[in-house]
Amino acid sequence: MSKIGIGKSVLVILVIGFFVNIFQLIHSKFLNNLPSLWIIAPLILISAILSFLFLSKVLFYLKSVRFAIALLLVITVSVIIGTFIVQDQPAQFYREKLGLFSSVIFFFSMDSLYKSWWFNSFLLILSLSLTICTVTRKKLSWRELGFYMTHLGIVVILIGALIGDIFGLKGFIDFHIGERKGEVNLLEKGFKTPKTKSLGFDVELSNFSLEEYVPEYRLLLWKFSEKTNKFGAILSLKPEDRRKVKISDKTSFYIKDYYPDFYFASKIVKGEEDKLNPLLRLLINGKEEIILGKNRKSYFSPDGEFAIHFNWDMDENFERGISFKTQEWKNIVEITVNGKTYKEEVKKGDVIEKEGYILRFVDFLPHFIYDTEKKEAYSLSSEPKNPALRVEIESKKGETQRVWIFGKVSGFEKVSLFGGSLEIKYSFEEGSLGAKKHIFLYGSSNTLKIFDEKGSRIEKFNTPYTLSLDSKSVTIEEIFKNADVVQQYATKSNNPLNPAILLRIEGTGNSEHLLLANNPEPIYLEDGRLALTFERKMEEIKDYKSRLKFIENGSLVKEVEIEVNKPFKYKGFVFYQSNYDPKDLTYSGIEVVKDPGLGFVWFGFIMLSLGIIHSFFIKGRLIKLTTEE
Amino acid sequence: MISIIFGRMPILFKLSLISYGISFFVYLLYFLKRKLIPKFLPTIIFLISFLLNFSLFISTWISYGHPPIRTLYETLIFFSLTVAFLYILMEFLTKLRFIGIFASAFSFFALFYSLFKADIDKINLPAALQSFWFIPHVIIYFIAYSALFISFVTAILYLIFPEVKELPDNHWLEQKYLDFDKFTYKIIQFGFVCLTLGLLIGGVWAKEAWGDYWGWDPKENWSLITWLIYLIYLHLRFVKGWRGKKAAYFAILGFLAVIMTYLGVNILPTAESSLHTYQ
Repeated sequence: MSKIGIGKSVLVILVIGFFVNIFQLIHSKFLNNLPSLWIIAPLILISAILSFLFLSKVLFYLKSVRFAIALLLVITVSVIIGTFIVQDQPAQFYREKLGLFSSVIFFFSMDSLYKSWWFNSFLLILSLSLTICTVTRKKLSWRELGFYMTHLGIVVILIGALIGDIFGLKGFIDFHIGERKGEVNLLEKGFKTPKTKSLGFDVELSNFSLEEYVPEYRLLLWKFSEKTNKFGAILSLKPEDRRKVKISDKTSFYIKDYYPDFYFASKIVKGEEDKLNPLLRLLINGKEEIILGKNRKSYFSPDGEFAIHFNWDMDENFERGISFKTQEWKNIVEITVNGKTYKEEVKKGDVIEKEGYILRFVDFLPHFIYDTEKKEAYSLSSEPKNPALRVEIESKKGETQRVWIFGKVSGFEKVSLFGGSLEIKYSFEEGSLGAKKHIFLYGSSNTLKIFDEKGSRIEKFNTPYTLSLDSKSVTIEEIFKNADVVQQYATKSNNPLNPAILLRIEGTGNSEHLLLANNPEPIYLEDGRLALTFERKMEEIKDYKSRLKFIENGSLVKEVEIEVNKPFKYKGFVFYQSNYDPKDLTYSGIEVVKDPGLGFVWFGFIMLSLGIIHSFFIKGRLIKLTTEE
Repeated sequence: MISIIFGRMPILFKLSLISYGISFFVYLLYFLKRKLIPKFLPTIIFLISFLLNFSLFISTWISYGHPPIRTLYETLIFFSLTVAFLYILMEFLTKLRFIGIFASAFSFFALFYSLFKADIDKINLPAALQSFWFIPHVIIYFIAYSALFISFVTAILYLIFPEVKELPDNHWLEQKYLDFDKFTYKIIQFGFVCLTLGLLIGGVWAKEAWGDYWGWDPKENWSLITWLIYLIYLHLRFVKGWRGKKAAYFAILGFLAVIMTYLGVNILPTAESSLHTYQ
């Protein structure tokens, strides 16, 4: 028999493909209500009948290497075509992109090429060709083992793929934590469909977790591209990298320092002893650091418990400090009689005499309130929210008038008595210093003078000295005659909680810039063609996992954790961690696959692998350099 | 900007690039003016280049915490390494030094090209690549690609020197026999085994990660196309009139498919839907 040419074989194959395609078109256009099997089965039947009628010719073709090569060529070109046409898109997509040409695409089923009837018929013919050539190969020897394993291995793979396509299932579950589902949404051609299939058991997503890579920070150098009209990053430096980068003849930059947890620290810098600029450093409760000096002489505790005042004792005059007393609330009254005004500070119980009038301050209520039922006044609290003084004034003639005057109620702080001959005005002073206790400290080179309610005393100061107050401890850490507070860049810890770098740019002028990662602002160089930013590297997801519970008849059978590359098989269904939703961390995309043909496929893989290794290692003995008979 | 582009590279990269460049010139000079260059010199320099390239690869692996065989930049460095490795092996077995010109040129240009595609920073491994199969899949493929590159060179050489003949003792090719056709065929056999294994490992991994061993993805398709072209080449040996020149064309076509698989898929309009494209 003469040999078939490769070219002729290609033609035969294309014709077969064309006819198969016609059948697919008939099915999809006119008979698409029927299952495709109804059309495929007769097609196969016709092919079988034709094959029997021309059996020897058909076998001749299928046995031929040239025919096989022709088939491989056609399949190769088909696969190539499919890579240039986006697959499985809605019809509109092709009409928009290709216009009239899209009708050609549809006619040859190239919008879903790899699932088209003609393509799969080529694979079927390939399987037949492989089977026939193996079966009719008369050489049975260990030398030929590789041949048999490779060729049959491919047939087995294709059979496995077919079984998987017909009897297999590919589904999807859009899960949220806590949901329990008993069915999957079927996938067709890789897309979710509303069709569902019951699993026969329930699955519950009990947990979903997402893990990110540890955030890292970088100094990025950006270059402006005219082509894209955007900045593109061209260099990335880790904050620990101190290398100098030269961007032009004159200009270079480098990272001078890195502060993982940046804050402005106050640092005390001592000066010469001959100058005077006193400074005191305190520690409240061992944690809070307070610095007092010429810019800030007093510290008031936030709860009003105490206040600390600091100054420097210049001439060791002890008496200076004493002429001062603890200041609390002050009740100041201005008494105007006969044109003269007297200003007095009064307390409850005081009695004053002015111009013949006797004023008795019989009561003081810090938070005056009048009980209309009991018809009496009392103090609602000990806070001076409505300070009121009760005055009894007796005139020369023995007349007595009694009033309440209010320090914080305008209109009621002034009262005119005895027909206007006496006027009394009450002003309430919270005290220029709003604290219950005041402590005065006078520092000198090695002593500390303390004035508080207990009195005054001098302490030798060479180690931290603790004042104990009711609820807090105040420790005087250091006293300086001449020191300044300098704000410094510092880091609280090595944890990158607030990363910042000190960037130094050297060139025609030198400059230093503090760049904070949490507030990235670019620094422009070279007339805006380059830019520097210090920022966090893009978020990268390390892993994501789902915890699945498999439940049957209401009771838990199995609980597992699946992640990408670690699926779990339950009753023939394999559950894959497919995807996640960055906007909804309770969502987990689970893919469910059942593939009864998988065993065949794996077996075919092994056959092919072993076969090909066998073929390679039988160095040249298997491979005949002569042509076929 | 060239100074920044080159300057930002690790020192081992700069040394490897320069070293490959030097070895290319030395190999070239060796064949142009045999008397000038001692016999062993090109090999030594190329060996040094390979060791520098290997050190670069290992040091990058250590600093990243995962094998640097993922991005275009990383794989270009790895590709230059595997070509160098296979060539050294080949030179040792066959003494066909002439190929050294092309191997060193390839490794040099792969590194040079990577200068412009350099990742400015390490990219951490996404969840999909955290699998046992990642390393064997990529390594086998690049060994395959390297062997097929060599076959590409010898196929072209066959077209230039088609006659099979016996060579005189001091022939510049340093071989007894000149049969580039047979040589190409043998290398393709090796490359094809690696291609097949790589393809199958890819299927096993795809099943574990994505639920299916084959997805008709553009990258998968081009790796299949490459495999099919070489499969056709291997079968053409049995067809009268299809060995020799026509086979050489297929070998060349096959390597073009390799380039398409490696680089081209990112340019295809279908690439967006692919899970395989480089960022």
